[in-house]
Amino acid sequence: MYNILVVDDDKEIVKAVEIYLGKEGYNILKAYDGMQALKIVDENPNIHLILLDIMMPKMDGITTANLIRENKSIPIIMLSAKSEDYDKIEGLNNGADDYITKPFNPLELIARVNSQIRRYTHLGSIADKVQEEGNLYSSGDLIINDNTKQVVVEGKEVKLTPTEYNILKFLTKNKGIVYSIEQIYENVWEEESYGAENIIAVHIRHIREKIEINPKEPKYLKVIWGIGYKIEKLN
Amino acid sequence: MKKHSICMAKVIKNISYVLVPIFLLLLISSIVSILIVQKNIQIKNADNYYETELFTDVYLGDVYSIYNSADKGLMYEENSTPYITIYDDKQSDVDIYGKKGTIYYFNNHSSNLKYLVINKKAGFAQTNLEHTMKTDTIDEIIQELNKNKIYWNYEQGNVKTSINSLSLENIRYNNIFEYMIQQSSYLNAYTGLLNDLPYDDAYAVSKLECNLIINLNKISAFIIPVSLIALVFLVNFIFKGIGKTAQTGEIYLNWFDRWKLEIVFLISISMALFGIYIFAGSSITESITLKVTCMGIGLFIIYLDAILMVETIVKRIKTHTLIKSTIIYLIYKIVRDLVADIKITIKVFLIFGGFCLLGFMLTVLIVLTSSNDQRFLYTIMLLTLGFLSFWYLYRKIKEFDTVKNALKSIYEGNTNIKLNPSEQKGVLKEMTIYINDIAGGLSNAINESLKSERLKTELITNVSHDIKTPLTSIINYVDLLKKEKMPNEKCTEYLMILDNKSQRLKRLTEDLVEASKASSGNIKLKMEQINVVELVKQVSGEFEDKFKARGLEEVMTLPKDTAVIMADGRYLYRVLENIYSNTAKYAMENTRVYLDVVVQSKSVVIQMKNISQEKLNISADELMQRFVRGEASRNTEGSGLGLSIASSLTQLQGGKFHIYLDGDLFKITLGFERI
Repeated sequence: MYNILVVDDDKEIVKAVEIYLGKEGYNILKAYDGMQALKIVDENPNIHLILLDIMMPKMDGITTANLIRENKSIPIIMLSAKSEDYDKIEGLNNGADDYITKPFNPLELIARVNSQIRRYTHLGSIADKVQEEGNLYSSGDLIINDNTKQVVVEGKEVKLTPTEYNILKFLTKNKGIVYSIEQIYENVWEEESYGAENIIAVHIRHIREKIEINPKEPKYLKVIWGIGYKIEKLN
Repeated sequence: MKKHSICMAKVIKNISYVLVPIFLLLLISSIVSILIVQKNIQIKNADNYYETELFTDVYLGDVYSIYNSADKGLMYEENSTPYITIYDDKQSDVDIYGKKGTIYYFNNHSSNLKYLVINKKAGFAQTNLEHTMKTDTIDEIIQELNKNKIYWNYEQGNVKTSINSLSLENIRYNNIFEYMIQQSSYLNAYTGLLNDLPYDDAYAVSKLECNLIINLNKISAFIIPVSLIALVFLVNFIFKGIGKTAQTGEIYLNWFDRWKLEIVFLISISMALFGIYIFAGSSITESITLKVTCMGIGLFIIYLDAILMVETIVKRIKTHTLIKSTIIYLIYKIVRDLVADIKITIKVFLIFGGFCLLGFMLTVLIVLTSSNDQRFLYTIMLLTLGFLSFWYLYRKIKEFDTVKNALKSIYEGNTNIKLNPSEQKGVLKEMTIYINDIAGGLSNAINESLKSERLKTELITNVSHDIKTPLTSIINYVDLLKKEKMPNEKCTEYLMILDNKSQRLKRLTEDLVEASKASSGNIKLKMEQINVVELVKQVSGEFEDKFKARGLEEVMTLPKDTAVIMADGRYLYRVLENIYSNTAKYAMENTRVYLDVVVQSKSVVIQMKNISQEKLNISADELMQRFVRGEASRNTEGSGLGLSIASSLTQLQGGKFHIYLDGDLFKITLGFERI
């Protein structure tokens, strides 16, 4: 049983989050401002994740996150109506591990919470799952075992078609490098492309839909518009 | 208090006027004394005037001339033609060294030097002492002469004197003395200078001067700096005090200060000349008192003149009217006003006419003149004329160019220009002022509108934050409701409507912020080289299943050439995403959608054509307006902001966005500069 602290001044939102996460089997602690959140964090040493709103009375989420980070490494997911790029950057720079904008998709919220919990609790065991001798390619929590043709993202196995697998393997093998559609085609099919049109782009989209929590804001397979695609180099 | 201080300033100024000449005199005489002492070192070494060469040379010279006259007297006496006929008095049968002789008296009331010369050979004596009872004999005369403090006697090769510098050992090798002795060893001379020098002769003047110089020189090291500092302060007081009136403290110009400067100069020069004339008049008279009076009056007139000039010039400078009060300036102003009023065409005609006339005259002169030197001179002048006109034209054209460039930059949208009107003249100056006004007005208007757009964006962003929070609850609880069992069909239907509308509201708030940012330009762009073909393929891949869902077949025509443009990939994607999304929503089902990328020599055009599902009963412009969608009824998804955002973002990235409607054909073109 994992304990999740939900902090938001809107009680109905806290309630809704409680219902969704409760169904997933999480135990929910509730706070309605930053001060309460700090108090609960101090009193309960056994909290596994915090969902934190930014705009709150008494103490805002950024300050709260900073104070919690002073002596705790609990994962924090910011949950805010502020959706600008610089809002997200500010949140992530101030101790948050992830950022979800309101109004949020409940499924995405659950997926992100699950991902953070897995990371926090089973960090070592994820690699064990694919730990076999052979060709391993990885970026962050995306791991490809070329011997078993398995793809594991954040501890969860993902099913890919052979073409998708080959494209993902090629990009992961060369993570950090941007490849154009033509280059990907020539490297994966090993023949010259004759106006491949959008086939590669369609495959890439499918891969994103499978490995990313939010395909529109990918974490691993990034689209560089007008230039190409790449697998982000993560630790 | 202020009035009082102004009064003080005036008083100090007037006192300064009195003190200035005193210090000036002190300064000048000190400097002169130093110069004289430098030239005649003995003055400095001697204790007093009588020991200086200034005195001894004159004295010896005088004695020599006395000798000379006594000598000549002898010559004529021997030839029995008595030379000495013009005497005032004489005493015959006087005992001169045991012989009978005559004493001649020459009365002289202008010389301090008194003498007696005895010609032993001829047996007569000469003196310029008056013939009184006490001076009847040689001894009596000698006695009278030796009463003086300053005396010098020559008697049979011996010198007896009260002046050390004229003692025998000191003058033995003096040229004059040697000559004297050689020629006239038979003469005995007794000379003396009257005590207190009662007559204004050369000795009196020289003694006065010498004493003054010696005294001044002693204190000049003190006087020069002191008088210099005093002068600086006094001049400063004068300059400060000039022109102040007790009433207002402002500079007051009297009738004289309003006169034209040239006239004032003329008056001043004539006054100064008059002063100099009087000063120079002092050389005519011998009398010292008259001389000093003349010099004093002359100097006084010159000094008065100087005060007058300083007063009026300083006042004019203080009121900035020095140059403006000249006749030359008046003429310049009249000419300038005349020229300014002339129309530009006439002005050009006049300038050109003048240039032609001058050139023609010089050419004629070159042809007609016979002298080579003159021809050379005229040629140089003609060349100079040519060069000057070229330079003038070149400068005018350059000025014109600045004005043109400024206009161009305003035309191109840069209103942040400021021309300097003082650099230009005439019509160009006027134009410069107008341009500055236009640019300033435009710039203000643009800034104002930018500011209001920014405020609008901020307002919209803040409002959208406030909307999003309750919206989150609505969406989440609708979602939770969907998972509950509904009591009847109607409830399920109503719930579906709630779900749809809440999702649309969510998109609307997101699009609203983006539309407002895009239209106000409140976006930071990261421009880089974008391959349009690559981008189109990528976007097409993203929308593949949405197109498929509505049976849309995409027909892409891509160029063989590279189609690279400068843009921000993320925002160009947003443009294409909106266009694709628009097509996916509003194109007629089961039709073909055409996407062409056309590479032209200087541009890359992306073109999307499709058949609209609904009848398009509005214009292309209206379609681009925010909140207008293809169909009049607004019952489908979408905010209606998509095309507006796409258009704004395209323009922000320097592209052109066009919508063409032809019946049901819906065509969008994006044009970008090719690199």
